[in-house]
Amino acid sequence: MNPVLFIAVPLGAAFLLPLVRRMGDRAARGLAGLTFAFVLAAVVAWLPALGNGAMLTVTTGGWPAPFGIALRFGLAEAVLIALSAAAALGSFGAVSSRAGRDATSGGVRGLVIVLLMVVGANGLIMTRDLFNTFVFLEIVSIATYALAATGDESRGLEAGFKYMFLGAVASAFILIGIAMLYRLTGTLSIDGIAESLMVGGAGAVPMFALGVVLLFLFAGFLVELKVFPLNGPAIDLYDGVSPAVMALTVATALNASVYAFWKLMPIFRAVDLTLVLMVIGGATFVLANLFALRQSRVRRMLGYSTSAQLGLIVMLMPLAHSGDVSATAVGLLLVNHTLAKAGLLWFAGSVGKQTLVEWKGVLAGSPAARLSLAALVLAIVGMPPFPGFWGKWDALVALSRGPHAWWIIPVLAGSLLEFIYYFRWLRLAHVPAEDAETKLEPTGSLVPAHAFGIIVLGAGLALSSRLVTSSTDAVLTLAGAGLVLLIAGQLPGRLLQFLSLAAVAASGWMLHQAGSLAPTSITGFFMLIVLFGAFTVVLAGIGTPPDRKRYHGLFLLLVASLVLLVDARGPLGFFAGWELMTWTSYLLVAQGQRGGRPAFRYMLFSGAAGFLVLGGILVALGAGVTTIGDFAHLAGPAALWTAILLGAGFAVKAASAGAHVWAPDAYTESPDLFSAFLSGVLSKMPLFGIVLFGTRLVAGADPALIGGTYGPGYALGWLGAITAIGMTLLAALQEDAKRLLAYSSVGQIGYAVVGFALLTPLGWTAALYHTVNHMIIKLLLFLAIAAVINRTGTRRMHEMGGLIKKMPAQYIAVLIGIIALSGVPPLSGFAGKWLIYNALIEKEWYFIAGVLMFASVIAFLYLFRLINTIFLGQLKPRHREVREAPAVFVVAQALLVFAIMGLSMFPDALLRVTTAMTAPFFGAAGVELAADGSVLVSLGYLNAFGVMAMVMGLFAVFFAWVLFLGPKTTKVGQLDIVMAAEEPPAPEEIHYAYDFYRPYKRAFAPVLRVSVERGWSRFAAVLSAVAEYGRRFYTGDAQTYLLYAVVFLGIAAVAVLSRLG
Amino acid sequence: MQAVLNLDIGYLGLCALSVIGAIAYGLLIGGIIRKVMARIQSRIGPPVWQPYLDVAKLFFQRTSIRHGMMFYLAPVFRTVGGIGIYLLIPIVAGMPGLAGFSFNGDVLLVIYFMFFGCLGMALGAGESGHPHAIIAVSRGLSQMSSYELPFSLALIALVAQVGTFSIGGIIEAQAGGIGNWYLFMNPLAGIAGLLSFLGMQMYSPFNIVLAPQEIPIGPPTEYNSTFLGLMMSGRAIFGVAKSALFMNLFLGGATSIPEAMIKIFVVYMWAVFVGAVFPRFRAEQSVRFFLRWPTWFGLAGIALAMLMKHLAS
Repeated sequence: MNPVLFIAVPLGAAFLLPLVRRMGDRAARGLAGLTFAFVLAAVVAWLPALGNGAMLTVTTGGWPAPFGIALRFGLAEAVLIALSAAAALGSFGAVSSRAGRDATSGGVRGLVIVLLMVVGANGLIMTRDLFNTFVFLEIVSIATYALAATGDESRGLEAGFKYMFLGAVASAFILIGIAMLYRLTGTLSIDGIAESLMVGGAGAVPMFALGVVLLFLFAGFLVELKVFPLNGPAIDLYDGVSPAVMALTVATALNASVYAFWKLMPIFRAVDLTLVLMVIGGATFVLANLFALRQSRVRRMLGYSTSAQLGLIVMLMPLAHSGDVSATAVGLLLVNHTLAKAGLLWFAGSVGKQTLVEWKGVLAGSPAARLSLAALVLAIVGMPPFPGFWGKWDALVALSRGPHAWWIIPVLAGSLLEFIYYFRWLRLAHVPAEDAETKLEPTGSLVPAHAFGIIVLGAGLALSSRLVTSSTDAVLTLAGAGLVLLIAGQLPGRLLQFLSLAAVAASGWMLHQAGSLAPTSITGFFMLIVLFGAFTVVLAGIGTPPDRKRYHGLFLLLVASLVLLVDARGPLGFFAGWELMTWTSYLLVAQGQRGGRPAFRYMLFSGAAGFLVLGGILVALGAGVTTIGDFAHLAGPAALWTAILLGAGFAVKAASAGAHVWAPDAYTESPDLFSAFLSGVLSKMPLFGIVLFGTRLVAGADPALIGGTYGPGYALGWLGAITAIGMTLLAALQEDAKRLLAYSSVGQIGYAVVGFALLTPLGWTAALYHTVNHMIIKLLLFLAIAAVINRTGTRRMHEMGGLIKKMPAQYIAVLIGIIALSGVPPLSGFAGKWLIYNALIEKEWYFIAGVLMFASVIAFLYLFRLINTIFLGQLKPRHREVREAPAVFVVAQALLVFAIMGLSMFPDALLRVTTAMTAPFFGAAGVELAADGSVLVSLGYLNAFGVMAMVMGLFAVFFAWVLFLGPKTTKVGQLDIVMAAEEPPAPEEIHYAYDFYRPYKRAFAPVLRVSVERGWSRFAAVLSAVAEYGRRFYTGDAQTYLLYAVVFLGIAAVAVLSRLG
Repeated sequence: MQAVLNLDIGYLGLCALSVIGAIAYGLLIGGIIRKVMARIQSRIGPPVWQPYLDVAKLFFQRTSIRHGMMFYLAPVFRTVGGIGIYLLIPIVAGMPGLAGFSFNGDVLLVIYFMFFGCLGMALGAGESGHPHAIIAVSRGLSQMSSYELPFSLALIALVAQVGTFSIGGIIEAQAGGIGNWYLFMNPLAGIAGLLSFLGMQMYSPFNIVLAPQEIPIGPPTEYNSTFLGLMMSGRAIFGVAKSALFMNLFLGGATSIPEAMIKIFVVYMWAVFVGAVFPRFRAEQSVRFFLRWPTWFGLAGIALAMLMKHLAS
């Protein structure tokens, strides 16, 4: 086999096509399809042989370099050709359905152009000759104009013309450059030119002449690559040309141009253009992503995205060439972009809706399509395990270790902007059907999009072997089971939950075998939290299985990512697990009946949290860290910035005040069972992050810095305290039971944050105790509320009432839960409060202690309301038939109740674990655990068992009293109450429930006027206005674009020529 | 654990006696208050032993109604809460039986255990299905959360200065004369404590929970017979316990039973006399009241405590 065939076969087919067409359109299509399939199959078959870096050089006509044209075929070329062939096949497939043909005319005539496009691209990829590069570039460009013009949209014709206009300028420049370079070096072989420029050194060629030459080439190629500000015509093209054609263009013309530019890098090296390219690329990445925010047309938005991603690649290219960043990383970014963007474009084309508004709810009826779209979006934004993640990670790590560390900021900023518009688009796909603007009427086949989704996922998974640890068995079990359940979503929900339970149990056993469950290790401690939470939620789920088909599989995927996260052995494992957790939980939130919008917010804030965490990790990596243990060796500003960025990231993820706006909606609108997991387990993950990195940072920090009263944690302490009080206050004013618990959950995490912020052994013990306690309680409460919602069909508390008579088990669960959460002795919450106040006073954070004490009393307000409004008071007539939750559900809750009772009597058992965990890092335990079960700290003492014994003893005495010595009681009817001789009206009218704390609301009116929500809305409005203003830069007018080109060339000329020195 | 299991029956008997004594004293104070209030309003008023008669009558009523499980249990919660809190406070330093179970925990335990009884009462009120009962709970919780703020601040100032949460330790630190009482050691925190105590005792102007003539008698509206008797007894001992706590924290504790009785009486009367002069607040006025001056005093008290600590070191 000869690589020349990859050019020759499509070229031959292009010539044959007009002849074959006489046998009918079907034959013509068959020929084209076969050609693409052949190229694809041949390249793929070749790939394994090229894996070890083998390189094949073919000299056409047998002439060596100066005379003949050399083609080179290595791994990079093979991958790019495979992509171009696959994209051609995919585009062919996407428009082959009848509907697709109607939408994308051009028909068989178009196929000839497509074949020529592939010819040009493959040639451009393989050639090592400068003039040949120009020729193939022209073929590709002309094919692009032609394809643009064959569409029946007039916008396409206009866009194609503008594109050609600028392309002609580029071609002219490149040609002039090539001619002059030939004049200077006497060869057209790229390797030859580079060699002569290198060997000859500075004096061999006149520097000024060389500078001018390179300027022409450079400018020409940048026009081809459509970097800012020359990307206008290319973006207009997306608007007017069929997405299938654009997918093809991305995979052929664009990739080939990028690769051709890459091949010319050795020549450009004669003048150091690193900074110039980085500025241009970075600006393109950030600005194109920013302008994309304002796009209302999906295709145009994708165009901006292409430009942005190309910008990132252009930015990294000079670094890859100098070896600062691995070329593989950049290659992965390119491959990832091609696969994901082609998939998205086909998707957009086949769905056929132009504007974002039309997309609203269009996928409501097709969960498979939603999942596929989600996968493609996750791939393009660089989420693990997709290849983009690995590319971005490697590139960023390399940047952090090199002299260009500051360039991480624009990359992360641009990536976050990218999140916004992609997930906004995805959100619309999750809008429920009844709110849909239009129905799905596919104008093409979705199969190629699905296929590319699977390919990009497969490629990513193949790269994920870097994450293998001793817990991999468990992760694979969970993830494998998750994927199976995702496909088998049609099975009965009860069975799916049962299978999930088996998977969770099996993975738990595997982790136990692997020794990952030792409770005194940080990993083991949090692993047990994850497994315990997952187990109870799934067990309860057997009782009331969620009705969403994809819930079950996604839940297991989430658990798998949590296991990966908690068992992380290094920064990469941690961050990969973190991001996996982010998107799996995002999709789960989106499973809620009205989950689209909350999920979108959840993703934005989680994304921002992820980038902050990544920033912190990168600072540490830049300072030479390789393992998590190494964080203890950080010192000076690196340690400080790592701590600040990680702390900020975890604070956002913990929904600390200010960044809390995502949490209430996400908790409320998630599927009911998932809310329990979200609050019980997922909310503990930022705390896990704090513990994992915090212990190391503390161990390595100056004891004088940590030990003082107002150390580095003080600001975080206030943040936690404000979160606690703010969220608690808001919780008291909610009418929706889940929303109430959501605010409560966020507030309670604030307590834990304060504990960790103390940076004392006692503070950490308090926080860890609180973490476990809060997990158990919130699982219990959210499950109970889930059961109630399941039976009554409402979340609004004032619509319930008197349910104690119908659901006594749920009442007991909530009663135990609220007593434990409020901190009333003798249940477990008290020890947590007691520990944290002791820790605060010990550290002399008096004002924060005051705030937390206040918050904990306000908590009574919402807790009482929860139990009273739902379970006590007047039973509503429509709830007379309500039944208790299923037995399995109650069993799951009983587990939690037992856990609370155990913890209430023996808090010292848990404290023994937590102190063993943190003492090595602090060098002290902070708590003394006496043999009689007393807990002694520097300021106070507690014997929880003694308190329990006292309360139980008294309770027994008085309960016996009312039972045996009390009066004979008569049960009276529901409305049989003292009403001053009036007859009580209907139950609804005397159930005092709505706006329960009205006086309180009045008293706090001035405080409640502060709205963080409004602040974020304003921020979003400003960002949007900036994007709108910037977007107008692209007027759509060819003359303007030409003006930009002239200005750009002027600046580029100055930049390039000034580099000559 | 052993500390609990090792308790002998004699000690428990002493505790029981002490509880009965405290209930009796609480009821007596209740009677005195009614008499005092009557005299202030130029009435004759009931005899001071009227509460005993009331409770006895209730306990000997032979029939009652019930609204459900929680209605039944709430008086138990209430009584356990009242007695439990009494037992957790050392009433007379070093006197067996009057230190109760205070070895189980410190002042934080006492404060949080106060909510146990309130919660029980609130749950019973909820189960009764009477709107007035629930309105009262809503008000009560609102008010409670607001007076707890200045009280917590005063307590924090106190602990910052004496360096312990242990009630015994706090009493010890105030030993040696009136000048060492925390009320005078840190008058700012003392004022915060005194003002928040008014809310805790719920006499006028803070009697928004029971609120006679407004929402009949609030939470216990539906209760009668033994249930109400238990609630009244619980309330009596709860009042004594709260006053004893205040005495221990701010008035140097007590070294003998008479001293304890006098100090508790004085503390009680502080709230009663204020109540005799001021009319009832509306719920939001009460909340706002505690979040203003008492809170400022509490914050200033902490600042003063920090300053004194700083000067001492």
